[in-house]
Amino acid sequence: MTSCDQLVSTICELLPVVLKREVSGADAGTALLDALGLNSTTGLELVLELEERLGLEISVEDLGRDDFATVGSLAAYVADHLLADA
Amino acid sequence: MTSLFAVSDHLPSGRVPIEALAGELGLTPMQVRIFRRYHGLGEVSRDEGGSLLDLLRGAVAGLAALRGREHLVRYVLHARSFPTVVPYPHDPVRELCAELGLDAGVPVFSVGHHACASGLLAIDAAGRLLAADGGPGALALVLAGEKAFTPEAAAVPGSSFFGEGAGACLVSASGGRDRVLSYAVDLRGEFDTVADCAESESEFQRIYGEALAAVVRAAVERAGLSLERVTAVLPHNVNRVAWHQVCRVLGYPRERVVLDHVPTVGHVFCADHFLNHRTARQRGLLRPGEPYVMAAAGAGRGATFAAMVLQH
Amino acid sequence: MSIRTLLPPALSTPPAAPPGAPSSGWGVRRAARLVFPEPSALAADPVHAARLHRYLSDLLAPYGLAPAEPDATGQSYGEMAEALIGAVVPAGEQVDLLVLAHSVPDLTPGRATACRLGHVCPGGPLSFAVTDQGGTAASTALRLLAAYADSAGLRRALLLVVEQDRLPYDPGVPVALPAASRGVALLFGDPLPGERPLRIDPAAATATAAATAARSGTDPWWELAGLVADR
Repeated sequence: MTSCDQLVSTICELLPVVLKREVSGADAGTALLDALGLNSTTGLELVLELEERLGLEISVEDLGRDDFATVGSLAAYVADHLLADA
Repeated sequence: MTSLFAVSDHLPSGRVPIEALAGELGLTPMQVRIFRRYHGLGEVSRDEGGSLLDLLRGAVAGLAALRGREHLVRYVLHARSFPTVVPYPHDPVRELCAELGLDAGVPVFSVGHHACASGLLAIDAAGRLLAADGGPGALALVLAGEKAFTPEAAAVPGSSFFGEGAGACLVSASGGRDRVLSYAVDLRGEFDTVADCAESESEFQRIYGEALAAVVRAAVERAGLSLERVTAVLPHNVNRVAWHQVCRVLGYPRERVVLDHVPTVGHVFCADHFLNHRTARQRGLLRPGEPYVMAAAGAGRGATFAAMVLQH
Repeated sequence: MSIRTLLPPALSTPPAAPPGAPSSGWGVRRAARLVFPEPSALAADPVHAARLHRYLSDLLAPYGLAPAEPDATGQSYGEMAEALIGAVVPAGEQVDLLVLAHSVPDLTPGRATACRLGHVCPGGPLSFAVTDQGGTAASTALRLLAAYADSAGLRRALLLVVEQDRLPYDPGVPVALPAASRGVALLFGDPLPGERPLRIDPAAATATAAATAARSGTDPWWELAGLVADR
């Protein structure tokens, strides 16, 4: 069972990958859209990279803009929308 | 009252998976994955080697009601997402009119600059022209459909893939069905900039769902109706997720939005409403006397949100 | 709130009534006409030129044609129209409807110019374009303008007729281009005190336009604008 904390740290690890630059000091409270400049395309890349990293499938049907507010809100979405366990 | 006297559509048989188009459009494998997983796109229709005339001719071929009524056609309008689609002064629409035996003096023109909402504009404009000077029984032929002839007309980055196809309808001003009840349009010219602008693009994405929902609501309210009575929404086939978002905002059931063609055809410019009309009829979503909505938003250069309420 | 809602024309509107007739006095209140002798600055922009070249190459390829080499000429109808709007709409006034008409393609052929004009024109008018009618697009635009004024109550209406003198390719068939890039703006409306708008019969305008289409799309409108200015 993947915990929210694990999701938060995995998301933080993946931020430099999708943003293609150094990202330091990110945590659950980091604002993805506003502070880091994530947009809808890089946001979705982040979700798909997360799937690959975790070896899990995430349902993206209900994914909305609000879920990308912070690392924490995204982790919460993912935790609620896992389709299968590895 | 403006009404759609007959509706038809045409899809070529060719289908191309979006992966095959990624290279020439400069899309990364990740972007294509996002299109499939998130936007719900998969294959798009293509008429390899076919012309715009072929597409439009195909759509009109399905308008059985036109046969025997050619002399009643007073106006021919081509609704376009892209304002320029053939080299001036070539005019395949006029060529088609000659093939159909329409009166050579009938005005044949393009109407638009509402991007993919131009089809709704054309229906509204045709109805008003006929009401002004059409005479009894007069009809207008409204055509939609384009070729994905250049990368700009093949995909909208992060949003959609265009499919080749066409639609046609005969508009009347004498009432009857399907009757137009209202038309709402929201032109957001502030998003139209000559140069590509990242902030403008991201702001447009941000307001998209709300703006499209708002114009649907406005059209329904202007028609004096409530959203629950709307039996179906015939969308522009931009992608699946945008319309799911609109449904969340409106509180409207997504099963009643005809998104069947998004994964298998793509976004057929201004013609989506016509092919979705056929699908809605086939699925039993259009019931005589009951209202439905056609709605679209302009993507790319030209931000327009529009919705039209009709009674079947 | 930028949403406009319209109801379709009522069945009771008698089709024989001339558009715009019910409210007597509705007609052309102001006019402006401009020549654009210099190419648009956009034509010299290398990013735009490259994008345009791709668009045109793909547009022309099915016809076995190719675009001419970019030469920094051409007009943006958006720019021409903005200049005309500035010249014809009096300070403090609003416009309900804007119709842009042209036949020769724009320097920005993929751009929904009329949508942009709806944003820059005072009053945020319902705006759209009428094009590709072999030089007579403007007369149909006028019919539409009168029809919307009549049936949708959009009575403060602006007709913009623009044509440029440049086609960036040889289309392989005869084509008539105007001698100069020109634009005409006709502002329609109900008269303010002391005004005597010029009435135009769309049918007569159509006949005149058709007769002169071979020469230049803007000719009859240019002359009309002169008439309005003289009143």
